[in-house]
Amino acid sequence: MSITADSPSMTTQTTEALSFTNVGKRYGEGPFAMQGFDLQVSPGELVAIVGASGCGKSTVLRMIAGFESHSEGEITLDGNPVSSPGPDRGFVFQDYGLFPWLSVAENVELGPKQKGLPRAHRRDLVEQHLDLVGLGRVRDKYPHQLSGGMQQRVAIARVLANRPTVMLMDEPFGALDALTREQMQSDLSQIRRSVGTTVLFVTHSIEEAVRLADRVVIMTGGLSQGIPGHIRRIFDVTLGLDRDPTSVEFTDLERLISQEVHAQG
Amino acid sequence: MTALAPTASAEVREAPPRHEPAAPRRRRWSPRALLLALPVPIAVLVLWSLGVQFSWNLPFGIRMAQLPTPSQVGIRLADLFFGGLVPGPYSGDIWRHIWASLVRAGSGFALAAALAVPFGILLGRSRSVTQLFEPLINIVRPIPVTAWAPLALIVIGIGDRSAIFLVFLAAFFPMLISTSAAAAQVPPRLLEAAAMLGMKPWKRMILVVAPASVPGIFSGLRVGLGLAWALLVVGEMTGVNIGLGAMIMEGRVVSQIDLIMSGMIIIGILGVPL
Repeated sequence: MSITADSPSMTTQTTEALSFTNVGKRYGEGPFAMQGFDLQVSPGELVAIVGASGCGKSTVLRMIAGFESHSEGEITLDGNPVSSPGPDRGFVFQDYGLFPWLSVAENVELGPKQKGLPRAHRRDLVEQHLDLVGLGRVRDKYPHQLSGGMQQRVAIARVLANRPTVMLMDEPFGALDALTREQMQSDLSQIRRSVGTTVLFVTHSIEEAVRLADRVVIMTGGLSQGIPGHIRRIFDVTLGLDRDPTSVEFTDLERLISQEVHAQG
Repeated sequence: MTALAPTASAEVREAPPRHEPAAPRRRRWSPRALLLALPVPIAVLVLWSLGVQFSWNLPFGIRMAQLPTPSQVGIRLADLFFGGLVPGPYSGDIWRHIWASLVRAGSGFALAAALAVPFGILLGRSRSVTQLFEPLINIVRPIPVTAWAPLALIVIGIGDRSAIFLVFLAAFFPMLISTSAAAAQVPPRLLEAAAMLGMKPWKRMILVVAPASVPGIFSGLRVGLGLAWALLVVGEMTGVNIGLGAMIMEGRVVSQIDLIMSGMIIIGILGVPL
């Protein structure tokens, strides 16, 4: 096992799934809430972003999604600058964001429908992705009939059915109980390996980040700190596929990251 | 008023409120509830009867002596429905008037709903539409329908169209306000979800905003339907010949107070389901 800290380094952009170059964000003419954000994410990589509240980690996701604009710099997806929201950037919300008047299958079908895919193709996509998240049995239920964990699985299936370039997850398991959360984490590892999607994952939990991510990005600053939000450090996580949160290597890395998150300045 | 229900729901049929928890159940009529429902109406009838008999003068200068007794009104009501008790043009002929009123209230309401719901959604979602129309709406909305009546009589003329127009006005604004408030409160999360799934902005109005606003739209439709019915009399004061409002106006002209009160009671009872 090795823990390497690498500074955000510039590489050739064409091989990146997702790239931030000197991205900054300010609201109106106010001070910068985020500045100098540089990050490259390779195809198939899962990058977790951790940091104190208000450091702008959710804003990073929302800027990629196109829900919020960035004030300077460039965000590119497969080399193309992003602007308005689109199906190439799927978003998994903490509060699921399912359409309560649509059944589980209809929620998953919504994306493919927007693309104008034929009915048979859509049905295949729905079946395939509901199976992927283990929810084939509840396809005709409505979201309010499902537990939080199941709703979040529907939300993941709904995003993946769109075959996005990147899946953006904003504290997706934050509202779930501990047991469900652990199950979801191990399922997510499996799902993203079988699908090969690039994932950008924002979380409060350092353990969750170490458990899931190929790299952990630590953000700091933010408007309340008086300095723009920025990346403090990036850790590579080289713990292999089956990670044991009780192992020495795991807890060492967790402690290191925790120190960085809580360090001042 | 059940005849109107299909028109009301047709507006929003693409979005049945399946996600809504079941509406609060109507009270079942237990024997106890039935027993408790009786004393107050009976007391009112008794007091009314006594008041007429002894010529009570009540606050507001209400002279009870002017009123017919409850039994006179009851006889008139029976005659309106079945005929043969009070000779005259209305004997046994009430169905025609009820039907005419239902059709007018229904048309005015349906027209108002058809315009208020889509316009309300736009108003709730678009800041520029709001800025364009809000001043006008705020000025026109407080004008009571009664104040429109003389203008409608002159500009539209005597007849059905005036009546329907006035009912339309009565129902339009509550439905507009309720729909636009509901549309403005659609959780932003649902619109973000639709956007990231690739849904075009105009489609989000129909496939997200409209269904998410269904509870608000329905409560607006309900209020609108109630007002449409309540303002029917005003609408029918514009010189139409058939209709419950017209009948009441005729009762005033010929000083048949039992006819007026019968019309009021029929309007009230038909309005209960609303």
